[in-house]
Amino acid sequence: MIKLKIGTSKRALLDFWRRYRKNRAAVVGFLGVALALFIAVCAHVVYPYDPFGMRLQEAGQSYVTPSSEHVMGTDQFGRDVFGRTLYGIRTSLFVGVSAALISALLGITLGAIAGYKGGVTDEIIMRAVDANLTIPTFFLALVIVAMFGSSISFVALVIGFTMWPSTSRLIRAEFLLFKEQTFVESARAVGCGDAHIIFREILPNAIFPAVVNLSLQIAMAILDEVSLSFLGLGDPNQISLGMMLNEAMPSFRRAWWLGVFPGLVISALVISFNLVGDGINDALNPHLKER
Amino acid sequence: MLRIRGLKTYFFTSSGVVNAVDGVDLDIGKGETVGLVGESGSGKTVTALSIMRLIPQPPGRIVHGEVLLEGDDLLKKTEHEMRKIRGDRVAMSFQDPMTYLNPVIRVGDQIAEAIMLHQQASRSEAVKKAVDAMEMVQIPSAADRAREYPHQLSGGMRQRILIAIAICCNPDLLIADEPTTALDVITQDQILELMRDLKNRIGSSLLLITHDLGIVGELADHVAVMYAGNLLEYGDVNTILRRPRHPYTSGLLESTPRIDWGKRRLKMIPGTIPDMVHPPAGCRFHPRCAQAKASCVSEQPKLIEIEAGHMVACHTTK
Amino acid sequence: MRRYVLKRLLQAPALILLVAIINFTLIHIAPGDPAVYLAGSLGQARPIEFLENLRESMGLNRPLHEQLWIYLSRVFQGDFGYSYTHQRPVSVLILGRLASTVILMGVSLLISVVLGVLLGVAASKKPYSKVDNIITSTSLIVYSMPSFWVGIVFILIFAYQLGLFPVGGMRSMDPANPTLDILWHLILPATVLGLGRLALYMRLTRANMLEVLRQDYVTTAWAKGCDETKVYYGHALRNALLPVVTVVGFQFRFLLTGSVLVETVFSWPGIGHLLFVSVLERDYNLIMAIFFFGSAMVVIGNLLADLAYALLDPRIRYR
Repeated sequence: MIKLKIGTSKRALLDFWRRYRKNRAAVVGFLGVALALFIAVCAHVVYPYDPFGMRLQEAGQSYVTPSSEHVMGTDQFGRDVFGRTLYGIRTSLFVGVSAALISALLGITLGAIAGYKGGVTDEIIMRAVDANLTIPTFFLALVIVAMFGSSISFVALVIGFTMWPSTSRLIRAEFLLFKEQTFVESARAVGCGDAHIIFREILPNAIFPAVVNLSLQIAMAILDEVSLSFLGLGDPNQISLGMMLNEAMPSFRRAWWLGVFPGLVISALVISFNLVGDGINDALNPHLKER
Repeated sequence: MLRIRGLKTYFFTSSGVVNAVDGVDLDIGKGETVGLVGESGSGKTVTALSIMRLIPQPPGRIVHGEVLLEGDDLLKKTEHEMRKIRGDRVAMSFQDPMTYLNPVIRVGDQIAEAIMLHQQASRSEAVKKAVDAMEMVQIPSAADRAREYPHQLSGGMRQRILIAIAICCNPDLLIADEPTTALDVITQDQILELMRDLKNRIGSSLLLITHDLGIVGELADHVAVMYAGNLLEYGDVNTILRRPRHPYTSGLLESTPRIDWGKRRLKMIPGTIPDMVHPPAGCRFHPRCAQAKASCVSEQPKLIEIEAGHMVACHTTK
Repeated sequence: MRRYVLKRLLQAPALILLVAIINFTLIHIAPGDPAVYLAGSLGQARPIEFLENLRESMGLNRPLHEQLWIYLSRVFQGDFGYSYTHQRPVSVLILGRLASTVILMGVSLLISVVLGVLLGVAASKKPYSKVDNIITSTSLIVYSMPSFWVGIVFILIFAYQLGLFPVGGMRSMDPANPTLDILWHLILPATVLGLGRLALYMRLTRANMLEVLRQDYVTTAWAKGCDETKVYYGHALRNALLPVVTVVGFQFRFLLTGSVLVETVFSWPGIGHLLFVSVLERDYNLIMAIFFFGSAMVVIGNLLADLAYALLDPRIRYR
């Protein structure tokens, strides 16, 4: 598959959208993601009550089963689960997207350099990638967050830092293919520097796998964030869906809604991003689907 | 022993219908060797796969015809019945010995598998018979070789293994698809020798598929010439090779170098095989034929017996 | 094959060493006093003399490269410090629980791979059919669910509502048959952990099978008269499974991560649960020790998978 230098024309985007639309699952995923984003941005508008507010003093407010007033019930402090879920979506989305972007940034840069330069630089970066892929990185993230603090931005940073190797491998492969092509040679002949060639010439063509991967990485990052906060390592000032599940554990025998709903929402989020990622993949490579 | 009548096998693809085999009649007698000759894409392999009923169901389908194996129509058999026949009464060996052998199974076991499928043999008996088959195809130290994997053997050996798989159950009909094409000249010769020897020993009928007329001359009793899904000429090997009547056959012969020619320019048949989704009207060879007439474009010639046992499908032969 | 084996055998210890070095680095760049991190739970609450003693024995007052050497030699002698909350040396504590985690990981890996492969073969028989789509989408949905949530839901349904399985732990008080008792406790957590990666193996097997079924040697198998079962399982799967072995090796780290979460939900007494406890207690020393042991396990598992692959693929074994 020799790729010529392309620009993203409006036509190409429309074609892509048309192919994407045909895949019903991908569209569902897209709607899910859109909804999640909407909630994340406008949570406080949609849900005007204070999710932290405890209504212990009002009798009979804690452990309320799901009803018309509290769609998902309340927890042991009388807090409305539904509202807390909305804020939890915001947290997860923030961490997920930031981590994926950080991972993309690191992965693309390092992958590009490794693929383009080759030689010792390539070897070093590839060793780092190999090591990263063998070691349990979630553990590493856990250790770092435990020791260094669990503010939401830091957690996003750490998660992003554990995810860059897979992106870099993809980008490096693309660069290995591209650096032999003629348009690169001509750029070099004209006197363009390495940085220019990497970022202005090759990268616009090589970046596709990373874009495809982005949605899937967001899904993974969300799972990581939720897992970390489930273990007690989330940001204590934020509401996290994982944390909610952690708090649900001692009492979920009598209050099943505390355990079921947050996890349902997490699953919905992750599925949506996975479907979108798959959908993008299929839409960009239609020939792979044919028999 | 084998009678094919009106075989038509089509492939229904997204770009159109490919008439890979379009009305072929063929007879193979008991113990006889028939060479099926033609360029790549002429439909020879598809014919063979049709006999074995190994055509991939989408997109292919045998749309018409009869394939009578000793009076039994193979095209009417159920899949279950065909499985008993494949490898046992009709067996096939294939062109590329590297890709047609399973890389993770020992070669002896691959032969033994066929034996265990069709003969009531235990594992150890089957392995012994497999080694016998390997000796029959002249593989030295067969017992040791049987424990090896395909990648450890040379190309010639692998081809012998494929042949061994095909003959191990003494089939009534052996179909050999290009048995020598993937091999170097010296090995080709050895395989030819082997096949001649096997022919005499086992007595199965042989359908030899090839584009190499030299092999046909060595081994075959009769020759059938195929082009673009049609049978163009059929007859006794000596007749066909010495006095071909179809322009395509003569063209083929003239483009094959012969040792008694001395220095001579090879004559090529101009053009290439036609697009099988939209084959030429009338005689499918006419665009490349120097002797084409008006009737060649309008009407497809039928196979006519112009002399005893010699059939030709051409308007220019009378 | 010899070169291949040697290369992998050398990489493993290097990686384990790397993890130890990472731990060492973290201790020293983390905010605060390094001694606190080595002091076990409630490190900050320890009396000053205790911390001073610790500093001396760990050589924290010496130059950095000497400290590294001391640290590494302790690690490779198996000295990971002492746990006051659990009243025993850390290494003993961890090794005591290691077996439980290995059993959990092993059984769930079995479930994952066996079910995944079977589903993958089933899906490959009729690609793009309804059955295929159902299998593929269901496994994707399961793959997207956080394992600890699935665990909670399973406990709610199978343990509380239906009462079929115990709520947690590894053993009952006074079991009639101890082995069966453990198995009974094992089923729910192992299934939950196994479900997590099932989709991956299913997809992989399916893709490999589709690739392999197009190969020429499958035609030979049909021509011999093999039936569908023989062709799929005797010929195609043997080839399609080889890459799966390698992938299993790479998946060990996720298996370990998953076991932390699952052990926590089910109170399964392995090192994952221990990790959860040590996070609660802020016992950094124990956390890092578990990280080390966990990494070592994953590296060794990876190595074993690679060696298994070399043995299984005759093209590598008989070079």
